[in-house]
Amino acid sequence: MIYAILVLAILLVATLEYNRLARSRERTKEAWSGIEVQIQRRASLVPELVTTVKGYADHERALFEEVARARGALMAASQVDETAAANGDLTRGLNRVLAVAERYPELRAVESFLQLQAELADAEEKIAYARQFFNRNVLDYDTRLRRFPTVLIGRLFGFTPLPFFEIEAVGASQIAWPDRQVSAEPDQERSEDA
Amino acid sequence: MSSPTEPLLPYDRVAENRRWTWIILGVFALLLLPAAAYINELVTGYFAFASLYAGVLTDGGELDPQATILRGRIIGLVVAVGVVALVAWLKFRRAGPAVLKLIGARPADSAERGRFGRIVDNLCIGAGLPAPSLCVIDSFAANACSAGLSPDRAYLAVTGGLLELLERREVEAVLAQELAQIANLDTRLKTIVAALVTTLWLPIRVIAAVFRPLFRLHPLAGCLVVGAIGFPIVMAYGFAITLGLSFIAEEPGFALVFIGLLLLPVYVFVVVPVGGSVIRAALSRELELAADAEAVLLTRNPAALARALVKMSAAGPDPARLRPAAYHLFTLDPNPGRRWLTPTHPTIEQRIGALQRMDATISEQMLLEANAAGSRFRNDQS
Repeated sequence: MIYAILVLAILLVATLEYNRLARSRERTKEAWSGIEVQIQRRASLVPELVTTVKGYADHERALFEEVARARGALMAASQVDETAAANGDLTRGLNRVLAVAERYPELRAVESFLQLQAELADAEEKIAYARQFFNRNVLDYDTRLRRFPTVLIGRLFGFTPLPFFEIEAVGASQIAWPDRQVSAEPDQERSEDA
Repeated sequence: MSSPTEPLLPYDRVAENRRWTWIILGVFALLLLPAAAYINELVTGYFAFASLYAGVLTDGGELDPQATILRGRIIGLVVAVGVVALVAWLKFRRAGPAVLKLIGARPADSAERGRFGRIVDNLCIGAGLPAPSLCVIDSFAANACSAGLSPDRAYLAVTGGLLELLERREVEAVLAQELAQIANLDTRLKTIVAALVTTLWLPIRVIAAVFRPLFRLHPLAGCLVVGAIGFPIVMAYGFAITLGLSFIAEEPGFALVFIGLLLLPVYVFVVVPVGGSVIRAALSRELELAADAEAVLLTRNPAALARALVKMSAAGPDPARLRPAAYHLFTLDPNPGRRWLTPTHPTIEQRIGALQRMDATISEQMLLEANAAGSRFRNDQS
């Protein structure tokens, strides 16, 4: 009798923990799809930007190809780290394109370009927030997965820890703001050119 | 409660707020108990009378009085609980819009939406929330407020002054503070408390509404009329209670009911409203500090929130809009003048101190500048 109650209690705890873990994993999946939506949104702005800037700076063809490649890689990426790396490449490429555009005052007067620039900044901020939501859910899921007795359930049913969506591959600061990056990168670009 | 410097996930707070919601609803039910008891007595009496009457009509009065009264009591109990539940349901069902009406908010037009709608959208992505309905309060005080019973149907209101005074990052910080509260169900709890406090203050407001025109006419006239009506009532009260006490030995049951009925107005006009205000004050101070911390978790920008709070505080309250029942819903205490009575917010120093512990770059210089900007804004308004 005692054993029966004990077994039942263990089963009950196991079921509850399994459900919590599964719910937590679903949350991270949902958060991930949020990132994908925002990345798609930004990627869809890229061709328009490239076309607009190309009209003024056709000689930067290598840069435009690089951006197109980064965009392609980002669209093809499916894993978290892949996507993060490709997203970083595209961000760097876009910043260089915007830095090129800086050199053409007539381009900066074009209404559609300004709008595009604002859209891109907004898209970047949306990605940053989506990334944060994802990382917070991953943190919750991973912490759950490391705790006892949940760790046993996780092993048994093949739950694996998920990686964070890092904004830089190595040594990224915790507080990485897209607008800071935007403001930092063009300066580098200019110094390289000079 | 964990200290603001520790990382803090909203999930624990959600559970805590759920618990608090039930406690608050329980207290509300307790405060309504006398009303329920009264309805119960009424229904019992009516039922007993009706049975007697029906009995007389049908078989000449062959009736067991005990059973009739018992039946009456059971029906009375069901009716009383039903009435209280119905009142609570009617009261809380539309609590969100009711609170908006209380604070004088209106839906944001498209120009205003353009000024802060996108910030809200982006923050909602970060918080994993559906976008709330955006509202604007026409007031030059810089403040923000959220209402609603669930994150799916939440309302986020900002004052016109907030949009004018603050920079983009600061608006973001304040909106994040409100969204954090929508997400962790602080908003639901506070909305329920607001609905509750307005209900509990209703008798006082009705009386005040009757006498206010007299005071507006002339304070002396008001005092005279209140005195002329009030003095005999107070005297009669004293007399009636002594009377009740005098026959407590002979007829204890009747005397207790008599004195209890006499004390009912005291209960309705003093105990209940004060109880409501105390619940509200006890509740929301802690919530505000936790919400500051969660907002920072979302924006990673403690300095912007600190600057925003100092600016908003320096810009001062809007004396034209004082609706006490909803004070605790705002980011900043809309009426810091009366905080000695039932404070609803931690002091601005406490909040800035907590933010400074998170971010050492928040300097006195920065806060002084923010303070000056807020004061300038106030002087421009007046």
